[in-house]
Amino acid sequence: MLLVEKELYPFVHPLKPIMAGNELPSQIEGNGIYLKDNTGKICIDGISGLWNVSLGYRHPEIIKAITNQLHQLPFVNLVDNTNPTTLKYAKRLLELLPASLNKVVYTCTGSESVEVAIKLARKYYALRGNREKKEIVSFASSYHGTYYGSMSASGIDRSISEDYGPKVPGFIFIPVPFSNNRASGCSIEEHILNLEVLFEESGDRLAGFMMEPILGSAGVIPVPEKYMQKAKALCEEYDVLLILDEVATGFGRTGIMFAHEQYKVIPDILCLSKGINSGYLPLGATVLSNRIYEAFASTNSHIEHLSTQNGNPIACAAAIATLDVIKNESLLSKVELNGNLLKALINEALGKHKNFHEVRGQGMMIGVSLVKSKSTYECLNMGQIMQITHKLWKNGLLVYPFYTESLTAGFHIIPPFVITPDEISKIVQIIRRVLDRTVF
Amino acid sequence: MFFGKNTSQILFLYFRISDYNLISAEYLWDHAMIRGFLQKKGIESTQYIQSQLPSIYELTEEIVFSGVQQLIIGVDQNNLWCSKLVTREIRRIDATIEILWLTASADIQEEEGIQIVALDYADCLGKIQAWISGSVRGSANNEKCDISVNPYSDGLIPSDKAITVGLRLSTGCPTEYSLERELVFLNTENLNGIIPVLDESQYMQDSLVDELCKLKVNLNLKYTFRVHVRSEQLDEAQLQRLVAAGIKDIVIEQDMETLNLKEMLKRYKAWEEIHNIRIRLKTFYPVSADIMDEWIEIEQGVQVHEQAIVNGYLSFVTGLYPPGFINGSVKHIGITESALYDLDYHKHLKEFVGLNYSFIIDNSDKFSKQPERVSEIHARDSIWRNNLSLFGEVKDLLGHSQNVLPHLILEEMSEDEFKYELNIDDFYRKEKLQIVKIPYASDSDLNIASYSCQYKVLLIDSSEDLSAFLRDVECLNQSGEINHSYQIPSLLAESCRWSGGNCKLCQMPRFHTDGSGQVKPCGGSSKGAGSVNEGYAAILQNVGAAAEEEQLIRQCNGCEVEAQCSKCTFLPDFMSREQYCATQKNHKSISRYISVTSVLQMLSRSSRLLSGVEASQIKISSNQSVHYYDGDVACYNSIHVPAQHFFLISIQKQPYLYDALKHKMLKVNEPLAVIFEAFLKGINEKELSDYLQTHYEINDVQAEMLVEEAVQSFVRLGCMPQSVINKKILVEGEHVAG
Repeated sequence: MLLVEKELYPFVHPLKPIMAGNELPSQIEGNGIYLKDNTGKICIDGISGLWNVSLGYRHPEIIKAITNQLHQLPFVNLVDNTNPTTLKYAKRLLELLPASLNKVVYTCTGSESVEVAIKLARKYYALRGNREKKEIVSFASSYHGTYYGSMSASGIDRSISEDYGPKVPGFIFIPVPFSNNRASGCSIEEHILNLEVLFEESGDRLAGFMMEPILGSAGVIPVPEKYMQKAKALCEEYDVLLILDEVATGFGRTGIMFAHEQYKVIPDILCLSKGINSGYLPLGATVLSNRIYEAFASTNSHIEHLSTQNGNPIACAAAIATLDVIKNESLLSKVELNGNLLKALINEALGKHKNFHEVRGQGMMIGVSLVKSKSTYECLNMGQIMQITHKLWKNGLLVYPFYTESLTAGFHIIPPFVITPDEISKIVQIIRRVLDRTVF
Repeated sequence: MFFGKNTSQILFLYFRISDYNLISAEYLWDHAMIRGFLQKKGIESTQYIQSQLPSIYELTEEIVFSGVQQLIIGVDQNNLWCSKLVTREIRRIDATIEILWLTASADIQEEEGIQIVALDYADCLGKIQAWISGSVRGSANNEKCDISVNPYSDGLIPSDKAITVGLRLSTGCPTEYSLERELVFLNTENLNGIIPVLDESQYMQDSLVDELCKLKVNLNLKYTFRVHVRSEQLDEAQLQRLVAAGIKDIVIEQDMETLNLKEMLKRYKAWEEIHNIRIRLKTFYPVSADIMDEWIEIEQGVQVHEQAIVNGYLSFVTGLYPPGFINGSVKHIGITESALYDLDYHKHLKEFVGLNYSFIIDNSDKFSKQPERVSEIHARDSIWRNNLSLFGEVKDLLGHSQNVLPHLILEEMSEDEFKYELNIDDFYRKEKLQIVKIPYASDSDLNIASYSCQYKVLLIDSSEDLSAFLRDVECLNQSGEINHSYQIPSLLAESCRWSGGNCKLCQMPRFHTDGSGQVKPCGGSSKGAGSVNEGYAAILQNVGAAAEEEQLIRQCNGCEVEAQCSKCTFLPDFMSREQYCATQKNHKSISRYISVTSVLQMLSRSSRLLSGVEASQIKISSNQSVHYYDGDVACYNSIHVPAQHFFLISIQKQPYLYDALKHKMLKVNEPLAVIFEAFLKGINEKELSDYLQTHYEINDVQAEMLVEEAVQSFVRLGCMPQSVINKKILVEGEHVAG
């Protein structure tokens, strides 16, 4: 008697039901902005992996850097040792930042960078003898990661993360200064006023204000300049640390190296990952300001944080190569130009579409916002967004859906920096072709 | 292109035209065999599968953009028109894609340079492999090698597809195919049903049947088979052999010119009864309908093969389409005779329609080419069909001009002005399906209830009709009762107008048109959205813009009934936008009425629950009309209010809870009905507990337990959110359970 045993799919896919797996496309090869799966289907990767493969797949410079480092040293124990590559990258990173940001804590992921930021903020005030200052302000629709601290700091999906409680306490969530319908809802001035009230009432308990300069997962929502500057001013007035989560926006994604440059504010803590080495290996960094460094140094304190692979030399080598490519190929200006081209073409293609609201974002971080009605600004629901993203995939374009209840819905387009204008046109053609026949 | 020369994506495509005339892209057993063979030779391929096919343009674009470089299409006489269309369209988009037709039909001729390979396991595997690898003089004979391919157990076809895809008992080819292995595998998959055996009748040798019999006994198979046999092969002994082999369904290929046909049919009927099998006939030539009427059973209601098309027709009439039905193309077009025969018009329509669309032929001026009394029928695929029919005529006309073939639903007017006979495609019926379409206000004169037919549709074509409809709405709202028995089985034309958020205008699954080419999206409204010449995308934009404009004019944003109003854009001619808005505002329960009557219609069609039940014996609970809870509510509490898609329906004093999302009906007891209604009215748990103590003469502990159990039941059913329990625990200060 022949017996056929059914094999259980062996691993869990993040943020998918636990039994998911068999039905997902199996990507086997990448080249430039293209991905190929095991059925031979070739897609434009319109989201750079998970917003991290900024220089595209199979980039020769990064491959060379990784290979060379592999022949030297694949791992170093940073507890007791240092390493030229790890050191070199930290210096290169700090050169890109204002002088007040002068120390790097290596991590492996964006979530971990945020974990470090939370620890730093609280420990900083404890070292200064002010143990009251523990709480951290965060936006209601923010996403900072899924480790315990970063999950607790994230405003999005709180109803889902509730079951994993008790979470890390001490986060205050405030509304995002954004509305689909600019004519109704709170104005920026009202948001700023509310922020002032919050700082007035709670400033003595606040350790930090953590925000993404452009809320990515929430739907590519830029923080208004006025608001950011006010936030910085309030942080200074009430002695609160400004923590900028640039995991998604960092390393040229918005057309400048770091998004905070555009706001002309300098954070006290900067969280980085994703595009740090074009996503080829796990790497992140939390950069801290001199004031924080001094507080630790003056008390001869260490930061209670370690992951074994922090500052891995191969990952750092890839990061150095990434910076070199961005500089040598003048990618920042290309990102800005191509990003503007993409937005313009989308506006032209979709302007009259019933469900098209707007295209937002900066550089190569673009969100296409879709609504049920242009008069009510009611968002399309997640099922409808998924229908669209699925059709786009079938037509050869990978995008990423977003749905933030009562705020915004649509899909991300976050392509690699190496994309050409022709390829941008191709992306827009696919979007047009699908949306011409899909109306809700 | 981007990954080097040596990679090639190979796609297999097969359009299955079902007995029901529906087209889908499906697995084909022979394709799976070939794919398995290629796989073992290191050549990967995919089968394109899509049950709900979009328009021809979307379909071909999807195929092209899947990265395919070599496409193998399984072609037979049924899907030839579709295969040709797709081939031409793919070549138009990307001429570099190589296409090969694989067919078992000798009649299919070479088409415009497309290579055709005959499906013959003696040599087709080698030919296909040669074509894929691009060798000019490919091997005509398959290499003899130890390759074993088993489509189901090798995972090339999901096991649950065996009931539709079928299997062969033998291929007679050099590759090793193990019938036993396949049958064992399917048995372990707990497959149940009748698997079609694909071996043609002329190859159904005794040895194969004997092998099947042996396997059935040894393996204790849970499923049975359908086979095709020629009538001259089939005698009592052969029949016994087939039955012993687990064959429950026999398709007899019958030469209908045989003498003693009536005797033969009598014998077949006797065999069916004695052996508990089903016998179907497959005829190559037309036969007299009069003779076959004795064989064909009288249809009770809609037959299985008609159901999908009839369901679509009802969606067209009511405007209510199920959520998964909409996928970016038009499904139903109400068309006039002149437009039906206009080939230019069809050229434009190609862009609009999905591959399973229907024409509903407008019979308002009495269709001039009336189908004649059917005298000859045939069953080339074991479904009885009219030999000469409008469907066949239109198929020929459109097929030759490379258009997508529609289904046809002809509403044939009868002597009674409200009654129509439905002709669906070429399906033969001794007794036609009947539908009555009657103005809502006509009841007092004509007594809708007196019509006996499969479908009754109420029309709102005038202010009087609207008033009559609103009287029924208010009766349900205030008393929770159904005014008239006819409301239960009757559909409401253009229900979408009144059914809350169900307006599908912007996705345009349907429209009406006449010879002028004007596209009229909604029934009863002469307002158009443009001409078919403008193209599908433009028409979609037009309707979207029209909807936006209307909503701006009517100030829908912020309106008191915004949530429950359909915001119908293309109103019926007798109604102004002000009247529509006023109606919605003055009768806020309209959408609920549509939901309730839809539930009752569904119950009357799909269950016996309402059989013999008078309208007065049905009660629907709402926060305005309750039938079990007779208490008051001191202070409205919204925490426990049941979800809107749950209905408490009392039928002959037995309460049922109906979940409209899952279509589940649950018999409940009276206390649960009391509690449900109390929550509907907004009672809080404390008040309810007090009431129950008095009502059932129980103590407070018993009452609280009753409430708690009821709430937990409602949460389990999905009628209330989990948070109602969590909130309770939090309020009481206990640790929150995970």
